[in-house]
Amino acid sequence: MAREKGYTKNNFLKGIIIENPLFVSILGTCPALATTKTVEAAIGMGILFTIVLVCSNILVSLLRKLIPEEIRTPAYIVIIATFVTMVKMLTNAFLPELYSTLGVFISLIVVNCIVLGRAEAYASKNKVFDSLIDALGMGVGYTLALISMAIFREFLGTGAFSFGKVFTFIPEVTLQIIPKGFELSLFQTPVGAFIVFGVILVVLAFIKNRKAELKENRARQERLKKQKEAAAAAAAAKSTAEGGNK
Amino acid sequence: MANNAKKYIITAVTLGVIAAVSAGIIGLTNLLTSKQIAINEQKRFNAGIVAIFGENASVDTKYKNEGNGKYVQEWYWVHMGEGVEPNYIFKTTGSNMYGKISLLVGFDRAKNFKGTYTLVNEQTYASTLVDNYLVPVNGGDKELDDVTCGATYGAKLVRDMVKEAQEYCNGIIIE
Amino acid sequence: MQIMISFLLAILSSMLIDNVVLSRFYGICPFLGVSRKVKSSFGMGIAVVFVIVLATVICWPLYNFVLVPAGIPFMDTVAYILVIASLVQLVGLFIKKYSPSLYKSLGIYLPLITTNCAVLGVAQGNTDQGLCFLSSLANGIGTSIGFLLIIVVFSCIRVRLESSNVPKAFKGLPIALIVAAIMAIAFMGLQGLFAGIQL
Repeated sequence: MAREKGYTKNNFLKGIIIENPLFVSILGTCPALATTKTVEAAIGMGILFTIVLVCSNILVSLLRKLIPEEIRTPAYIVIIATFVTMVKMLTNAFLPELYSTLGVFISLIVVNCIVLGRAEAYASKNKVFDSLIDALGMGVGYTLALISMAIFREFLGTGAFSFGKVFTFIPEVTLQIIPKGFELSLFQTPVGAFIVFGVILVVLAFIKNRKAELKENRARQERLKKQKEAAAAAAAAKSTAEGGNK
Repeated sequence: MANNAKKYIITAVTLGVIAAVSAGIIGLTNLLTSKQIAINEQKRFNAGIVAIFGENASVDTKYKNEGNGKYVQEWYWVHMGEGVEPNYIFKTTGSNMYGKISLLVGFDRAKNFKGTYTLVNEQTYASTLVDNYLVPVNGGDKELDDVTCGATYGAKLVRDMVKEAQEYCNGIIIE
Repeated sequence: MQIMISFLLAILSSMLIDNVVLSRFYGICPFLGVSRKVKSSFGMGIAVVFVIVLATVICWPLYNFVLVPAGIPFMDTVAYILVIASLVQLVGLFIKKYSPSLYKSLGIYLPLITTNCAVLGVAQGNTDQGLCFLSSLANGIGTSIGFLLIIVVFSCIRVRLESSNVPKAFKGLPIALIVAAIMAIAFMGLQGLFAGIQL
């Protein structure tokens, strides 16, 4: 099959920017609001999510010809639930702090619309390698989106960035930027989650509108320019014609 | 008709195989991880004892005493080093309408309350419970009895658990 | 009597104080996706109430009487999601047969419920927290009615928002999220609701 150059690269990048699952498609919002209190928890959630997404996408793509049409959705759900349970157990064993921080939201990856959505929409129709790249792109895009939300929430809510509390294998570091007592703990509560998510969407919409406006302006200017040129050319032609008549 | 039956069989078999394989994989993972999870629990238990009694504390889990109270499941002697009389630690577990709690409750030799350490806190209002009850009690702000805890049933449960541990402790007679 | 009171209190508290959407973050996807019209959000809410209550009634005994005695409590997530997926299908068939008009209005939301975190979240939370059957039931009823309440209220606000003049960048979802934040502030005020009740 002939494919255009850079297909793999675009396939990876689309999950990060153009089709970002959280900020563009507005999928997977529950963990995005619940696990973004701290940057570390967001990173942990993102990594677990990416692992589940990649594994299930690969398996679904491998089995795409074996699974009959009628039982696709239940079969996919079982596959996803299996990987989620495995990830849950491994986290409980080797990163118990992350396990207790994320709590029930690890199990809830099963019902994350992105995982089932990618399995249905992409992996069930495409080859293994493409599905892998697609899952990686989506996973990384989702992780980055979670981190960007967590940065605001942790910075404004606690005035500090702390590492080593969830990932216990790295030394514990706390960077206190806003002095204690001046932080807005509202941003650690659900209220802050909704506000941060809303404001990020506003900024993205603003940028999008602005870009569209600029593009339109440029197009209009070009159109005007062309019209002017055409008018000038017509005038010139007219004057030469008149000159010739003289 | 025969065609239909074949289709149903294939569908059922595929689903069955997928379910069986997934059960197998999960069971295998469980075998791999259960040991580590037990080690983690033990680590947490030891951390709790150190948090209540200080660095020197150590507990010999071999000397486990069965508790038969409503909440108290088992208790241990806590060794504080050579020549020092041991303290008591109680492992209590209870649950109410909002989930279960597992607490370590420590008493010193004279049977005075020393502090608590949360092993499991599955309460719906877990963080409220910690802020409003456990932290003040461990910080020494509040006596055990002056807790009015209508707001969180969790606090009531914790109070009952600590009280039972105390009664249990007072009932222990050392030969 | 005491059991009755604590049962009711548990329902009310998981409905209002610990609201499923605004403080536990379950079911945000349908909360944002299906709340453009009051009618459709009401349909979604009712369907969720059906499925959550049924799922609670089935999943709790399944865990405590089948999975635990069989020694495979770690299969819980897989079992629950299968139960929920088949429940959704069954509820769909049942409604289709006995009330075609209801099916007409609810039908399109049924598949969406399988991927609603609230359903799995409640089933999983009940057994993770080690609740007894009565508390699980209270949690299920309270959570689902809380969802119904909040999605209907939210859709009423969104209908008004559609016709109001907001800055262009805020149009649609962003302003809805800000409204949700304000609603969450209001619900935070309910936290001390049952402080005076002594049992």
